[in-house]
Amino acid sequence: MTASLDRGAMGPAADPALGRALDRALDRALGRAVRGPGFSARLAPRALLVASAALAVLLALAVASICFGDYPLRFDQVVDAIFGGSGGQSYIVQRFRLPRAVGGALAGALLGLSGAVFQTLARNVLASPDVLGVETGAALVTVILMTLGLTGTAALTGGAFAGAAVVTAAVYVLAYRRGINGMRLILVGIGVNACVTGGTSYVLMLAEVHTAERAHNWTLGGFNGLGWEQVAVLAAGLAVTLPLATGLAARLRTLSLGDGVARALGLPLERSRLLLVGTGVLAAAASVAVAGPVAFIALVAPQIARRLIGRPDGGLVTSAIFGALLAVAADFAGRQLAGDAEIPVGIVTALAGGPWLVYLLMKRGSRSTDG
Amino acid sequence: MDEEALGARGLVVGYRGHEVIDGLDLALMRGRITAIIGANGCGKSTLLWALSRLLPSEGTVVLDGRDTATLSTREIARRLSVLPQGPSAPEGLTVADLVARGRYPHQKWLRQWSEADEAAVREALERTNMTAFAGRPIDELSGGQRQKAWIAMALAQRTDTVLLDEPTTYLDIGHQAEVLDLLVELNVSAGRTIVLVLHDLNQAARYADRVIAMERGRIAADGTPDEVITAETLRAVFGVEAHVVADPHSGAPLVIPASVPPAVRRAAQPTS
Ligand SMILES: Nc1ncnc2c1ncn2[C@@H]1O[C@H](COP(=O)(O)OP(=O)(O)OP(=O)(O)O)[C@@H](O)[C@H]1O
Ligand SMILES: [Mg+2]
Repeated sequence: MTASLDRGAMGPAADPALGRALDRALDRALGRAVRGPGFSARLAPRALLVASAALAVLLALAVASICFGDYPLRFDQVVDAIFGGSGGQSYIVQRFRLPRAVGGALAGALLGLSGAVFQTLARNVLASPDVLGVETGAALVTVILMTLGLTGTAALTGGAFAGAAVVTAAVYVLAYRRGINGMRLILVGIGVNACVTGGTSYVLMLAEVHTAERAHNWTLGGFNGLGWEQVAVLAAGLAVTLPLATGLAARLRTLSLGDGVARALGLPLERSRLLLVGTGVLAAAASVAVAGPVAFIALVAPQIARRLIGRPDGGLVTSAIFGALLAVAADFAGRQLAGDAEIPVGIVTALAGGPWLVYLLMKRGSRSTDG
Repeated sequence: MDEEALGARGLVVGYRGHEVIDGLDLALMRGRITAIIGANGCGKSTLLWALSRLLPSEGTVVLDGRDTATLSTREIARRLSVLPQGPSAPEGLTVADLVARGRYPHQKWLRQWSEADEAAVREALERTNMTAFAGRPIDELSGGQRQKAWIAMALAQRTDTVLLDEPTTYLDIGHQAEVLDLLVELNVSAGRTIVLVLHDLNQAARYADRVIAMERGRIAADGTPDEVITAETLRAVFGVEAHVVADPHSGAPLVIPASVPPAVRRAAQPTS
C-alpha cells in the first residue's frame, strides 16, 4: 500500500509554466494545503471569505431585527441590554427579541445544513427536507397532539421530531431500489407528502375551532414566541449535527460521485448513507419541531452558498450560515413589511422561495439532468 | 517473477435470481495488461465488479496473495482501483476536485490532504495530460476529456492494479490511442497490473499481453492475442465471420469483418 507511493517520482517531467498554472488551478479548485504533524487539510480562501462575509451580514441583520420593533431601540441600547442592564429595554431584549433572533438563526442554520446534506446525497438540487417529508411529518404529529390537548413543549417537540423521522424514513424506504436515485426520491417524496398533508387537513377539520386555529398557526411556521428554552433545544441540535455532518463530509463528497465509484473508492455505502440521512433528518427535525415548518430555506441556502464558494458540493458550514441568514432576514422582513400585523416567517420564505423553485425547474428543464 | 496480482477461484456472481457467472477461475499476473472481450451482456462488467468486490459473489477473490474477504473495502481500494462504465460527476465539479476524490481510501479524518495526496493528484493530472483542464468543470469537457478526467481519478488512487471498464468507448481514434498509450506507459514505467474491457478487438490485440474472450459468463478463450483473436474464436464468441490477418505494422492480429461493402452489393443487385 505504501510501496506504490514511491512510484510517483516516475511521472513525466513537468514544464515549469504548466506547473505554476497547475498550482493556481489546484489552489482555486481545492484550496490551500494546511499541514502540521499528523494533520493535514485543505482551506479554500474563497470559502472562508464567503463564510465570514455571510456571518457578518447575519450578525448585522440580527442586531437590526433586535433594534426594530413596536418599541424601537438604538444600537447602543441593544448592546447594553444584551450585556447586563436592567429595566424595560433589557427585559424586551433579553426576554423576547434576543431569543427570537438567536433561535431563528439556529433554526435556519439547521435547515441550511440539512438541505446541503440532502442535495449532495441525492445529487439533486431539488432534494431538501421539505420534499422528503420532514416538515409535513412534523406537522401531522403536532396537529394530532394539539387536537388531543397535549400541548406541553416536550410533547410537541418530541412528537414533531418523531413525525419527521417516520415520514422521512417512509419516503426513503419507498424510494429504495438497490440504491437511491435522486429523482425517484423526490417523486416519492411528493406523493407521500401529499398524503400526509391530506391527513393533517383532515385532523384540522375534526379539531374544535380554537385548537384548529392554534395548530394552523403552528403549521405556518414562525419564530414568534421563541424563548430560551427553545433556543437551548435548537442549539443542542446544531451542536450535535454540525460536527457530525462535517465529520461525514469526506464520505458525502465521495458518495456524490455515484454508488459505483464511491464503492470502488472503498466507501461503506449503506452505512455512510444511513448516517448522512440520519444527520440530515435530525437537523431538519430539530428545527421544525421547535420553530415550525419554514419552507425553502433548506432548498435555497445551500445553493447560494455553493454558488458563491464555486464548488457544487461541500460547504456544509457555509450552507448553515446562509440558512441562518435567510431565516433572520425573512423573519425581519415579515415583521417590517406588514405594518402592525406580523407575517410569519414561513409565509415570507414561501412567497420568496416559490419563484426561486420555479426558476430552478425551468433552468433544469432546459438542460439534461442525470437525476 | 510471474506472480498472481488478482485471481478468482470458483467465482459465482449473479443479480437477484439469475446467475451471470457460474464458477469461474482466473489468475491475472502482476505487471501484465489483460483485455477482456465479449459480446454485449456476456458478463464482462459483472466479472470486473466481482473481482473488485463491488458485487457480492460466492467463491474466492485473491488480491496480492490475500483473500479479499479478509481485507476491508478501504484496504482493497488502496490496492485496486476500478473505473466503472459511464460514471457521472455532480454538475459543476472541477477536474482537480474529481481527481482529488480518488485519494479517499488513503485519507484519514485528521489527514485530509497530505503531501502524498497532492503529489498523487498532480501525477495523475500530468500522466493523463489533463493539467491544463484542472480548474474546468467536468460537464464542460468533451467526452474524451471527461473520460481522461475519470481515469486520472482512478490513477490518483495509486493502486498496483487498475481495472477499467470500456475506457475507450465514445472516444475518437486519437483519444482512444492516447488513453491506451497512457495505460501502456503506466504499465511499463510503473509496473501496474492493468485489466480492461474493450470492444475494439484490434485494440485488444495491439495493446494487451493477454486476451480473455467471454461468452455467456464463461471464459471461452484465453491466451495471447495471437491465440485468442482467430476467425474460429470470433465465430464462436461473437457469431461473426471475419478474416484475421497480421497487422503489417505491429504484427498483431488484425480483424477484418467479412461483410460486403455496399458498392459491391449494389453492383451485384439485378438492375430493375
Ligand atoms: N444490475 C443488474 N441487475 C440485473 N441484471 C443485470 C444487472 N447488470 C447486468 N445484468 C445482467 O447481467 C448480464 C451481464 O451484464 P454485464 O453488464 O456484465 O455485461 P457486459 O458484458 O459488461 O455487457 P456490455 O458490453 O454491454 O457492457 C446481462 O445479461 C445483464 O442483463
Ligand atoms: Mg459492460
